[in-house]
Amino acid sequence: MSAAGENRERMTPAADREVLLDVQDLHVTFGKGKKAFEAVRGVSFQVYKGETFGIVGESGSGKTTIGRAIMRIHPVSGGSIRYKGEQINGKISRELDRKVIKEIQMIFQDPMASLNERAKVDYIISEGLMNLNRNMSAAERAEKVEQALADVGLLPEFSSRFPHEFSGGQRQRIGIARALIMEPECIIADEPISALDVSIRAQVLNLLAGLQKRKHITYIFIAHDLSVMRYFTDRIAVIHKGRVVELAGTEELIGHAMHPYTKALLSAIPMPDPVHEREKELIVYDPAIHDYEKKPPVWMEVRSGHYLFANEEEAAAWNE
Amino acid sequence: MASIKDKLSRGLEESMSRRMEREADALAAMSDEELFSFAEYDEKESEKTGYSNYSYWGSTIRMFLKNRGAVCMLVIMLAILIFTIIQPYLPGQMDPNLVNADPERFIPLRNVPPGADFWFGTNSIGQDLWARIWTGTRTSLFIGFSVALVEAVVGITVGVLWGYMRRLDFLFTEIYNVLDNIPHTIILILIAYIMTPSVKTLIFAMSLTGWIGMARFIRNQILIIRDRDYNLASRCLGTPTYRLVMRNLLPYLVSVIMLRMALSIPAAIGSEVFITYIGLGLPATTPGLGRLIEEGRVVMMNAAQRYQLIYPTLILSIVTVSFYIIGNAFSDAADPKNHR
Amino acid sequence: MKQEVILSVKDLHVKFRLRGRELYAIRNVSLDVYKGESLAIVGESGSGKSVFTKTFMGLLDANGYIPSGEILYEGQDLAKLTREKDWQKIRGGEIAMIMQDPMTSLNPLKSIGEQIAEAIRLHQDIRGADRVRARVMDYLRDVGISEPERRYKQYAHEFSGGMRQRVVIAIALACNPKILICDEPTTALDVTIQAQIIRLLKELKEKYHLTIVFITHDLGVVANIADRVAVMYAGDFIEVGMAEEIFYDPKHPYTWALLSSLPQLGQRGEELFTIQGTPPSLFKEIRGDAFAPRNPRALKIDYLKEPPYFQVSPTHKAKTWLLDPRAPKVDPPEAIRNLKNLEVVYR
Repeated sequence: MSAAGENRERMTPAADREVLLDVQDLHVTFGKGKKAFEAVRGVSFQVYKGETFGIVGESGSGKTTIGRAIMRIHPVSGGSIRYKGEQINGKISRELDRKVIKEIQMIFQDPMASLNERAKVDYIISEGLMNLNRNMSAAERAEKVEQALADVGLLPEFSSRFPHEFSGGQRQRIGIARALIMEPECIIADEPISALDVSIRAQVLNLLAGLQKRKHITYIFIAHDLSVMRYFTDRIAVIHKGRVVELAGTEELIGHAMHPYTKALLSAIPMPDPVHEREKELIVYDPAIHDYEKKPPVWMEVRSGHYLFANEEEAAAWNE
Repeated sequence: MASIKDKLSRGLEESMSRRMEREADALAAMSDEELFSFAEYDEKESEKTGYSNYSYWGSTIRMFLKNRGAVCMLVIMLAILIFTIIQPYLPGQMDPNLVNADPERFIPLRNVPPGADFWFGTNSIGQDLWARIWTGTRTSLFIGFSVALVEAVVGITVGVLWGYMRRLDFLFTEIYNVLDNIPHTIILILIAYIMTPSVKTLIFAMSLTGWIGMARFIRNQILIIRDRDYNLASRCLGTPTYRLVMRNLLPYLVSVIMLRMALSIPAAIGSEVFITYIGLGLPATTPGLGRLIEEGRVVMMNAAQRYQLIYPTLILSIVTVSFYIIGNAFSDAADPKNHR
Repeated sequence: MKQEVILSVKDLHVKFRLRGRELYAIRNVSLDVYKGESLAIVGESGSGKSVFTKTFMGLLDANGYIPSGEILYEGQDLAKLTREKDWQKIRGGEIAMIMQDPMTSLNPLKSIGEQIAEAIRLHQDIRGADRVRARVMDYLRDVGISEPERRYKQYAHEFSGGMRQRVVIAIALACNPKILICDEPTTALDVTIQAQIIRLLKELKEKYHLTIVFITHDLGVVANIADRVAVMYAGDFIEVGMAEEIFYDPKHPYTWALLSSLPQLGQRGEELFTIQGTPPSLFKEIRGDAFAPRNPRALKIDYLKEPPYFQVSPTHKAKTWLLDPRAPKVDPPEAIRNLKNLEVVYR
């Protein structure tokens, strides 16, 4: 986590930090006409090179959809996604398409569902390589697969086996190796640990952190659990019902949470401390507390680098 | 029996007690101080796990072989298949179209019951039923296999396009609705009626409609699995559609495709029987099982000649039932859920 | 205080026949469940924690069997029950279960009100459509479902994951059970919903005088709900104690490992503690301490001889040679030594 540590002081958006990914006013709509459902409603954020950017929210908040829109799995219905200054949503050139495929990769939530059961590990991991470079020799490919397996702490002989022979944690590492072999600059990790046993989670988190240290990868880390975020991310965007409600550096967000939804997320973190845990007061977020009919909320910077989606009154009250 | 059991359990006991002794020795050999010292720890060792070597087709075959009934049927089926091919080359076989006559009196040997000369007897104009049945089985199986193959190739191709290309879904669905609403039997009859009756005509006529069901079926299956995570992952890696279909989608459908193909063989033979029955089938010189059954049906009411119906029907039943059982067993075996 | 035992498991063994081999899932386990307590059973997947509780309800898969052991419940040995009819009397009415995925226990074709009413009619002495309906409303309100009148007629697919789990809990309650087994009821849910469901279970336990057995792989989750914690590894309980004892004074290296690997305890910029490797194959015979191969500080004796239970306090016992007087002194990892005074980062 050196990237996290070193960059801590530079958390505030400064001109010298390179923006890797720039999402502006993103909208994603599913379905048409009356059945249309807007999963993402005007989300904007920037991801700096080398940082770990967290997106946290409950299921149905649109956090996965944002990740998938960046991966171009879901079409965007409004706004723009720029990668290194170039727009990557909508129709793009072949070269840019190839570049984006190589440089932005994804890790999926459920290791049980995200591997092709009928293919050997060797094929699964080298799948992306074959797409990038058809003329690669078999020997070179085998070498890269072995390297990728070693990178995620798996044994080289695993490459001739089928996914179902592995445990959840090992399968997730295979999924990480598949992304790594592309030598990506940015990895979108969509709840990479929530389907795993707690005892395995730490392994996968350490692995991701170590890879970032060695390979300077930028992460977009999506989760529903702030406890992991606190440990893993540099900045966090809290998303609720398709909107970012609060965005700040991790320490700032956890130390000075303002939005009641963020507070609810924090209070829900289970701590291994029975005496305090039994007495703790659970905060439940009720969106009805907002009076947005008369005073509509706006996106504002309440402290340096700390953004909030609220109206003036709320912001003043919460920022005590 | 009992003694073997005794021996086994005694052997087990002995090995157990030996092991316990060894353990006791190991315990005794070490002082308390050593016993309670730290052991060496190998991190790499802990990653190794005792997984067996697995291969998809290996397990599929093993599972299939476990189903005794299906293996039995497969053996019978293969025997029939091989026999229909080699039968004409065996010694002492007769021409299926030759009208046998008494060499002295030149009278056709009609309706001769099964015996030493004619193993399955002769039919009502004196042709050897044994030779005709095997020729007929050959023809019918050929039709069945050809139709199943065409159905599979066309059905899978169309089905994959239909299911995978979202933009084509509407168009294909409309085409399907139109085609599927024309009764298949009418198309079959019309084609058989318009074109000269031959094996090719029948294959063509049956294939013309057979693929529609297959295509629809494949489309539905593809729709179910196309957006699963592992396919999204492949798309994120830039895998071209062609390879995605070949490596991600079709392998998942092997078992269901096999089942459908296995079932469409007897179905094609059934259609052949039906079309012959209404008089539009194969020419008299190319006996199929359909024609033989039709001929047998004519004399069915006469107890002495009933064998002319029984023999071809028996073969048809064996073929149909065995394909059904083999197909089901194979599709179960090919489903990796059953591999554990 | 002497507590009344409601369910007593003695020397239980469970095996499964699998492709000609034998999987030894539960290995000589004894455990008492006290009336009115909430007991958490914690273990990794494959440790046998679900299998263990399934034996209480006769829900073992067809290839599983109990070679020996007793499960005593109200003078009856549940391990001996074989007939489906006898189990019907236990299931629901005496012991009810909540599964991880609520959809598996809900009927998609019946309104949720109907399903609760059905359970009431089967297990309670309430007659008359109006009275049953009123009772259903009570249960819906008890599990925190607002507008029960409207919700009564809705189907499972119209509910969110958390709400479905509440419905499943309502159905379980309607059976009027004495013991409620919760098998990873919150694993598939968001943390916020998880916290709410746990709070709900605690409230219901008081109101309906339930005994709760809570199964999970996440030690973090049970601190809130558990009075007592039993840690399972490779088909055996390696440490059992009151929640305070397990969290503040754990003795077994596996419990240490489970606690230290919690991401909640992670320090930024430092590696999280991890447990290497995978649990032992239950097909094989386990020699010595089952956790030894994954324990960097295992003793030589751990590989040779299975440790007995060492009693730490009247309520706390652990199966590790480290508690033997001859063993060297090994301290628990730094990260978990001060759970009582955890840095208050989240409040």
